[in-house]
Amino acid sequence: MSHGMQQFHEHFLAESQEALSAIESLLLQLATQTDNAELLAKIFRLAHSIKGGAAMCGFSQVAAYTHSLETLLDALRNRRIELSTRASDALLQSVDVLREMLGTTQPHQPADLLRHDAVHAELLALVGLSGEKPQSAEAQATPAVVVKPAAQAQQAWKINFECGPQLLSNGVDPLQLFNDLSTLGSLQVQAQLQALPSLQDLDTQACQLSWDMVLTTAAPAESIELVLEWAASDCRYTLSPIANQPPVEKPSARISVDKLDDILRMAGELVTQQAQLHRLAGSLQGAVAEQLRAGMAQIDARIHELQDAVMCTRLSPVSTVFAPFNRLVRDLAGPLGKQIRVLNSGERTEMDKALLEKIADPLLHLVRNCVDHGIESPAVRVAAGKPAEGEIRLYAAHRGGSVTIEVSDDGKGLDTQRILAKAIRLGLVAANANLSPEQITNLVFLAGFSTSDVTTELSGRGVGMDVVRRKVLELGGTIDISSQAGRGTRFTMSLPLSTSVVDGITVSCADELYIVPLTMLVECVPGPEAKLSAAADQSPVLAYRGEHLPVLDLEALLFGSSTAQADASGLLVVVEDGDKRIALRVDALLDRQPIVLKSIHNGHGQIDGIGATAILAAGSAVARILDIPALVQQSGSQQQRRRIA
Amino acid sequence: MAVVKNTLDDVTGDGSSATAVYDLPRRCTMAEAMALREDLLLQLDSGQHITLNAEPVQEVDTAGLQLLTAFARDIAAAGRPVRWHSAPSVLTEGAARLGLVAALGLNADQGSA
Repeated sequence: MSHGMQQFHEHFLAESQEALSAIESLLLQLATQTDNAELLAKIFRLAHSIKGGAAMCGFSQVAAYTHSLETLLDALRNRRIELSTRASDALLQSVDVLREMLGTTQPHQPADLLRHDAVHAELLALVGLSGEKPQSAEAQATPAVVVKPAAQAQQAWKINFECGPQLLSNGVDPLQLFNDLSTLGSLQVQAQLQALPSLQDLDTQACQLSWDMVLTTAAPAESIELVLEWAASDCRYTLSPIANQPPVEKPSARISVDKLDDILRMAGELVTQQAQLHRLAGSLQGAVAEQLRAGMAQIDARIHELQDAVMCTRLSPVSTVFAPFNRLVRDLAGPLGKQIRVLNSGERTEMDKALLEKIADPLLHLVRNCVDHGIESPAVRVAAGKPAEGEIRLYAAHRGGSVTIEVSDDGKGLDTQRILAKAIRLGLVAANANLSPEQITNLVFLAGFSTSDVTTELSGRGVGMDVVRRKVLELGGTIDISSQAGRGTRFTMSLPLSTSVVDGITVSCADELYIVPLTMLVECVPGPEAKLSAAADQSPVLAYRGEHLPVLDLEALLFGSSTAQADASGLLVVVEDGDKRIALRVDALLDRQPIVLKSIHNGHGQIDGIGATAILAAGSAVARILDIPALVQQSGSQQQRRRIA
Repeated sequence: MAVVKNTLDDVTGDGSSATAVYDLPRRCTMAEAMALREDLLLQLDSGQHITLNAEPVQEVDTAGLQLLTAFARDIAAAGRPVRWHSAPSVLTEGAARLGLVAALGLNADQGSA
């Protein structure tokens, strides 16, 4: 396969996966709006685009399968059949099958051919074609659609498109059509407004615009016509090649994440090497040194612009991880006899693609918990004066330099008495522990904790919430839980925009280097200046701006014993997590610089309080990022234990 | 239902008329086009300069954009070119895809009040 064709395939596969996600989401909407012709038209168009692209790429099985899907959609559109639960299930299963089929076009992805045939047969049966034996995989190996190889050279095409009066009311939207065309290449559009009447005389249900377009693409004319064909009965169009058209540069390109990572890594190394140069330049004096520093400041600004630009290319909307949950919840709730709808908001919030991939699992677990434990059965809800249908809300937003993601439900809420009883039974807290409701709800994040009496398919195996918390912390984030009996539960995750660069200070402790993220740093207090005293339990506290903060000796905390002097030496680093502050005793403050995480792994195994590992500059030093939320929590637990004791 | 939410001081500097801010609905699509047309006709007839607040817009289609184009053209012809506030990407991208950015006046002061 030529490189050009391979790129075309990759582009098609990526676009198709997005189209399938969109189809899935629209099908779920259609299930509750069965007479919404607009939704059906959108689904049809997306399926049609997949069919066209598959045929063009030579994926004849996908093209043939999508053709059957179109047949069912067409029957629904023309009201030859009703959208029953069976039809809805078959359509959703078709999405799964198409995902698998598109997956098998890549290596090492076995296909479940029997299932494909079964769903295919169901599609045909629904439109009354059950007598037709679905093609076996072998039979389908012969292309069902004659595929011409895609032209590798870019060709510009002139398209004139005039709408017929019924185009819009038949569910065809030129906006969608042109979007489909733009997937084939670079599309320039010029609207003709001559026929557009005044607002007073405008028929809002008819399109009175026409367009002249230039499409520059490697795709053959057949592919363009496959898209336009959708509107053929309600419009007039002409398609003609433009001779000697110089190739037009594409306005956008798909770039592999690996390549972006390489660029980001190089930009990151520039940051650290620049920091080293700053240290050197700082020791120089004189006019030339001043000029050097001024020049370096300008380079600093450019490097940060470069970093920001690369970071932006890595951003993806949260919708990519939110979208599958509509389907997932539908599939999970059905067997449990529950009615649940998913409401998304803020799904256009963008964050690092790598982070998005990593939060998918924690999110999945939280949503499963909401389905399994949070939302009650319809009868229970109605008896409690709630609507029979429960709600799970997914919300995302940028807050400061981080991203907040919330998963909430309007279910029964957490039973704090039951949680406390279980924690006592498991020996996680003392029997006479005096915990606040907030502390009790947070017990669900402890390893092995589960209040479910029955192990279910979804959750309740006693693992999960602690894993969720650990994963979020590994990503440099935090997770909180709030709950109201009878009203529901909310999990709030706060995540960094990126895991690639952390701005922080480097401190030393017992000859090792640690990084305190700047976002959690309050102040550094030199040991001799610190106002230390002893609490009632003799543990050290720091008098700090009207508060008494617990002092944690980092060395003792991490290694069990400390060689540091108890008072007038070293440095106290005041850190905060939310509204909780503690002071960490370390040996010395070394530097402040942006730290690039060249490799993220937990080098300290089971030691709480250590997050990721960072290499400060090429081979120069290794430092470990302190997990401040865990340390703050650990401090709280120690105080609690002391109180209980 | 979208409403004129406030009236600003005249921004044209000639003191002849005030500027009204009209909140576009969440959906500017064919389903809402008839109601939106009635609202926009009122704005057209008001004699005021109009700033379209597009912040609430979450969905557009060709019918909706065609309607806004007709409004933008008619009100400009009346010597009161439309101004935009906070045009979201769904609107600007849709307009660009249909080649309507200039006709809507989105290239002039998109996102400004």
